[in-house]
Amino acid sequence: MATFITPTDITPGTSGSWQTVDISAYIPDGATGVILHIYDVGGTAGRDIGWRKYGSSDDRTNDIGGGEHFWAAIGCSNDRKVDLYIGNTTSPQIWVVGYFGSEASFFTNAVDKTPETLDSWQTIDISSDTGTDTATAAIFEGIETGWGFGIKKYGSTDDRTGPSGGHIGAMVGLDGSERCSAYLGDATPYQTVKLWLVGYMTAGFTSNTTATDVSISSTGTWYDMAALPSGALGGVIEVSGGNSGDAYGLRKNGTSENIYDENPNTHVIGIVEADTNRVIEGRIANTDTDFFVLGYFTPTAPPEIDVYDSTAAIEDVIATTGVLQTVTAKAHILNTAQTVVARGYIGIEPTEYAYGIKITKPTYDVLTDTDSSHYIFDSRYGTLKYHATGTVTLTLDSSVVSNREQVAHSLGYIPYVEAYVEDGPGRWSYLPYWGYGASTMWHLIFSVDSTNINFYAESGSFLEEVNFIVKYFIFKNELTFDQTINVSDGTSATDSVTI
Amino acid sequence: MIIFYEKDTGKIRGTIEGRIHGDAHLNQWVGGREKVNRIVVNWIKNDAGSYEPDIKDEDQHNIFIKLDKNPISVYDYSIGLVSGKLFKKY
Repeated sequence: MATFITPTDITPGTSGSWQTVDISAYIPDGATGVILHIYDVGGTAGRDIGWRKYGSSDDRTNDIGGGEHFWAAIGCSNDRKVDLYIGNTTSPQIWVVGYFGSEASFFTNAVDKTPETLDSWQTIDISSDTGTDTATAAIFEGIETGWGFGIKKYGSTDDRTGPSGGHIGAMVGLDGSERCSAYLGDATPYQTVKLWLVGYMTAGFTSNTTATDVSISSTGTWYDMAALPSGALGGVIEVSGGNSGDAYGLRKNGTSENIYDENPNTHVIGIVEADTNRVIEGRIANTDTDFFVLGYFTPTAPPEIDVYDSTAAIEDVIATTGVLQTVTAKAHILNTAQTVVARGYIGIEPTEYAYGIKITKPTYDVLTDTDSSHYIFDSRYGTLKYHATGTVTLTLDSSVVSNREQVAHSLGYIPYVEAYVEDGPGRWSYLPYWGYGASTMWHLIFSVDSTNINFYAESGSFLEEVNFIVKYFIFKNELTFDQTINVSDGTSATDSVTI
Repeated sequence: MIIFYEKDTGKIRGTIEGRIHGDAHLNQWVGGREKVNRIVVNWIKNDAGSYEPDIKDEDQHNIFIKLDKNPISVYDYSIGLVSGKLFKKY
């Protein structure tokens, strides 16, 4: 998934040459690329802008219009550096607004994917560029797209094209064969139009074949757009229509960021964070400017941690991903012959019931097996939790026909207790217990309350002293006798149910 | 092991088994506190790195090692009212 951060200005202080910018203070270890919001505040000539992965020999810089703003994404080095280019130090601003993790890959040098045919929709297939990966979204950089630009998932019947900027970023979903469709206007003989593939995503992105219209109908201020689908963290928003240079803005709902300025002509792709209600705010100057959701970012499962092979901790994964989500730690339990005798995992997820500790018997997959008989331990089911064990003695004889011994357990609630009496050498019987001999009968019972366990012994009178040794087991499990249980979901309730 | 015994006779009334006893066990009691006293013996790690009863008297030390293996045999003993030590009943 894309992870968004508080927008941070990383504009280089030097213009006219590529500058390496260290952004390790803003994005975590493990980031593979960054999302940029590029904005020229206008008023100064020489507005060339460039962005490339650190270590790349790419050299694409091109002028953008004064007042224009748009989004782009580019790879970073393992130590989180990117190369940026600005034509002057007065008007351009480059903000880092988010980053990608292992779900995205970026090329050191971008791949030219410019279609041979211009002025019509053309299929772009990136399957030959992704190796063994299967990409779900492509990340592009466009040059001289001011003569016409459009991009959509392969198979879409959408048909929105329009002039865009001299230098733009774009992102779009791919079909199962790693294809999208692009439209590039023919700038011949004035300029050379180019579309470069800079990277791709393999997870954490859901694309719409037909983009969802989330346009707003009023101008003048920021308005909530329709919420993104469930689970969305942010969206890829196509801005289309209106007049060249119409102002527009996209931002996370509720934030104070106020970049509301010109559209690069009439077509741009925004990469924007949503709030927890999945809402992005939009602002337009012309009601002909529309917004369409090409796709949205969703959480991706972090990598499994093999306890035997890695010292990585669950906390590290959470820190890397930025949010608490599904984390799995696997472990193999080996016997002395190094044979797996059990498989276990610890799972954590912020949703109810989806966390716990499980151990399966050998050969069963602890991550997928749903047959409880295949489990050695499964914390989703109640278990007895040991508290203390010990013994008491109760003595009866010819004059003492009943006796009591008391254990003050100090738990403050009624615990689950089990007890056995030794009714012969090495032989233990479960309480309550009844015994008999030639001349008398006897029994032992016990009761439990929130303070004490009371053990009782009674007989019809023994001829001589008899000592009963009772072994007790106290568990932490609280016994509840005064709750009404909801029939529907098994939760406790104060109301009653009539059956 | 924690052993509860009658203050006036030394007769053992009950036990809590185990080698390490925290607050949960120390707050537990067998019989009334006015008539029953207790002996608490925890196990600690020795210089060799193994665990043993934390009691210096060698005879008593050995008794608690035996009790660890067979806790029920504690009822073969009584507690000396003056010494506070376990001694075998005959």
